[in-house]
Amino acid sequence: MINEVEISPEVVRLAQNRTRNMGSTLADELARNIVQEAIFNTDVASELLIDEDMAYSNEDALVAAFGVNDLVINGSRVDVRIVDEEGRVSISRALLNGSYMTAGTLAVQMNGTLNGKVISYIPASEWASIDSQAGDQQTVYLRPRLDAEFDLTDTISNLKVSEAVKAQPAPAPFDVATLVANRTEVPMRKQRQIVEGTLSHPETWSQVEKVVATWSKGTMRRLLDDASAWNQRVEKLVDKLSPKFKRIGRDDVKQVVARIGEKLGGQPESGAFRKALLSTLAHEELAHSLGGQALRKASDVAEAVLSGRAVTDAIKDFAKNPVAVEIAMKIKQQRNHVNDFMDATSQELSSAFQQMALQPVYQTHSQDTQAGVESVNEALKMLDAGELAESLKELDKELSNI
Amino acid sequence: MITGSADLDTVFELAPEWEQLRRNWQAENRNTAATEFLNKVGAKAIFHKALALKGERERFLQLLQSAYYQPMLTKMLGCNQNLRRFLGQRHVAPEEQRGQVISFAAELSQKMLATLVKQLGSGQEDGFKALLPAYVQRSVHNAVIDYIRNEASWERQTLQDVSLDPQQDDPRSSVADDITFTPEHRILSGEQVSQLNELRCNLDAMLKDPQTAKEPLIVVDCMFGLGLTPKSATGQEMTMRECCEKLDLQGETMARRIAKCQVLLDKGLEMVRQKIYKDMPGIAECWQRGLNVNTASRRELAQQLGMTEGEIDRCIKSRQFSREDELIERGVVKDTRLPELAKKGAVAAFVPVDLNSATARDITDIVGVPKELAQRLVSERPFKGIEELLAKKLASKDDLSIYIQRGAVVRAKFSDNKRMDLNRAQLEDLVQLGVDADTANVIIRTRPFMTWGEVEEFLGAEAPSWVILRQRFFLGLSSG
Repeated sequence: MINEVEISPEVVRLAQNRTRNMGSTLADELARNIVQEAIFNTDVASELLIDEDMAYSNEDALVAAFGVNDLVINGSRVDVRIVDEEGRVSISRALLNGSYMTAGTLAVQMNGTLNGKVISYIPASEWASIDSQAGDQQTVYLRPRLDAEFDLTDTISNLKVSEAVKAQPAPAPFDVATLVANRTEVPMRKQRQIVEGTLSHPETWSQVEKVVATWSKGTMRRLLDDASAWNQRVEKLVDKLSPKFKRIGRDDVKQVVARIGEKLGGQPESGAFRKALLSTLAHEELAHSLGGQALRKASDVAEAVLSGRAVTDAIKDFAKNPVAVEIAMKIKQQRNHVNDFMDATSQELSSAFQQMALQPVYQTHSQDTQAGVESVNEALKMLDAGELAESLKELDKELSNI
Repeated sequence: MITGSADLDTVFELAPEWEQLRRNWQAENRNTAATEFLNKVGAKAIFHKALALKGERERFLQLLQSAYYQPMLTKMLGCNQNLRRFLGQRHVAPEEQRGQVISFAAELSQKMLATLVKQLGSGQEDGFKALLPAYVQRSVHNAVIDYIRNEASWERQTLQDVSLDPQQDDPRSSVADDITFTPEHRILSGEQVSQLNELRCNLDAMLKDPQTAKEPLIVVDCMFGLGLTPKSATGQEMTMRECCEKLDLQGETMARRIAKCQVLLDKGLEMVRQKIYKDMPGIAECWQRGLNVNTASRRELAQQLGMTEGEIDRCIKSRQFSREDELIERGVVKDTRLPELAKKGAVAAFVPVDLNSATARDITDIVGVPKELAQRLVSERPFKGIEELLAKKLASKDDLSIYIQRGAVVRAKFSDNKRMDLNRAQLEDLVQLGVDADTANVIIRTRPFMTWGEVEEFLGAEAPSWVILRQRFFLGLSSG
């Protein structure tokens, strides 16, 4: 490319960091750097001077809120835009027909991210003409004549600067927020008033900064990055948990994870999160087989086991009849530790009694829960719950690394 | 304004013929006046005067350095955006930035003067150009670029040799895919999780709504890895290229396809923003508050939140908090103080502290492990699991239970032996693996990179070595 200039990779990275934070466009930022570099490459005798303090594009908030991208060269404010892949230049209409667009646009064609050239000039009047036919569009496009021999010095020296426009009052913060967050619902006339009012009242820029911090595309990006991280944590947890809790549907597991996150924050690897998650799911799982008092006791046992208590100790804490617990344990052994929350059959009871040489009081199917078969059944269910919780301990370790 | 001893009297003593202009000169501040006067006189006249002076030339040149070059350089450097951004991104305080600008200007003014002396020596007619503001401006630009390049290079070299905190694992040994493993990365408060759950429901509803354009939202879904559609997987961000492939976006060149993808992404982000603005305004405030009471230093708690010494002591002692109102429940602050703290940006988000990588200070301040034990933990790690602390008799069962409750975790170390870290690879390694030399050089000058999207954007759509980079490298995290 003739007239092509190169920008330093370090400068490109600085520009990239800036645009990533703000959520603005890197291409326009690079285009402005190319114009600057091109000006520094002109003969110093042409005395093209950039006043960096005067450009609106120095203000992150104005760039992010309105898309300003200007340079002040020898006192004239010149807009800078990139020529896109289709050979077009585009600009938000809110920037047209006001004090921002008085000296036109320099169009830059990039060759990669490090090289580019200033290739065309669009007078403000040309934008105004296109704007008048734009209907309700937010952005206008123009296909400039691309000139490989474009003379930057001559163009700057002969800039056509249009007349200043009537000053606007400073806008209300709410209006700026609406413009930034929901532009399409603000009429174009109002958009221009807000932009004009803001640019001509530097004392309002700090307010714009707050609006941008809240509603810029940069903030949306951070939000979506966090959404991605949280969604991934939820999915990973559900993948791990679903096979263990067969009676609870995948969506229900997801709901439980979401609820606990709302209460304890989004770090499932934290001990409190894991404990709450496994206890809740264990309770939900038990609730599919048990109800009332049995569910409460089984849940208590599961929670105690998850807190580090041994299964038998936990059951003995909640069951008042230790003999019933012993019988239940014998039956569990016969069942090969299958957790089915079933009552003991008379055959299982007989076998357990024989092993333990117990008295027939247990053979009477007494209604006394303290001493009868129901105590055994209750202990059996607590044992099931305890073993379920015990099996979750390994899962707990895995979750700490999720 | 730095003008040293220069003043108008010296100017007129050396150049009495400029007295004519003096009569029109009515500035009150004579030091500033000397600078402005010289600017008004202009480069050509100053140069010719310097040429004409013989015995007094040295004095005149000193005057130029202090009253012409230095003020001009100070002003230009002070508003140089590249320099401001470079220092700003390194969190250099404004006062310190001003100091750096002044010393930078003093140094540069000597170089400018040396150039001028050379021009005077050669006696060439266009030697005055060394005094033109446009020349000074260009010199400032070049000097700033050199400064940034050298500083960046120094930072890279020193960071490769020394660890910022000898007690902490080098964070670059983690990989970007593994980014969630770093402390404080994407720590989400309960309130944020509520908002994110709601956001997910809203985005799901938008995708099901027949009136809503789907393509921009699908691009957002893929680019951010939201897992809302079968095209994306949660937590796996795509680059533009990958998104184009996945969604089969058409275009004559990769650059055009990427441009199309960018347009869709911008539109999608706009749709998300509008939805949030209309239906979830609370989300905005939620993402502005950023000082976590669970990890903030004493200084941050005092300066940013205005907490008293007593409140700070109680806060650190009672960590960690899952919700802000726990600060009241545990007697850290009175209930009337909480809204004030929230307004100043306080948030309570539980942070897991990995005993295999956290600093001794974090282990003490966040988890509450006594200082000596924290140092011992650091020296004895890595641990395979948290129970190892019991086995090695580093903590009792009760203490361990408290540490776990306060956020202690033990993570497995991530390793990727098949790929090379792009943020640490040597030039020769890059070239040997097939990256072209230009790209390799540029990467080394500008790394570290945090995401592949960032690498893609930086190298541009037609980067020749892209496939090799993506397949054979991973991105190690920067310590910054």
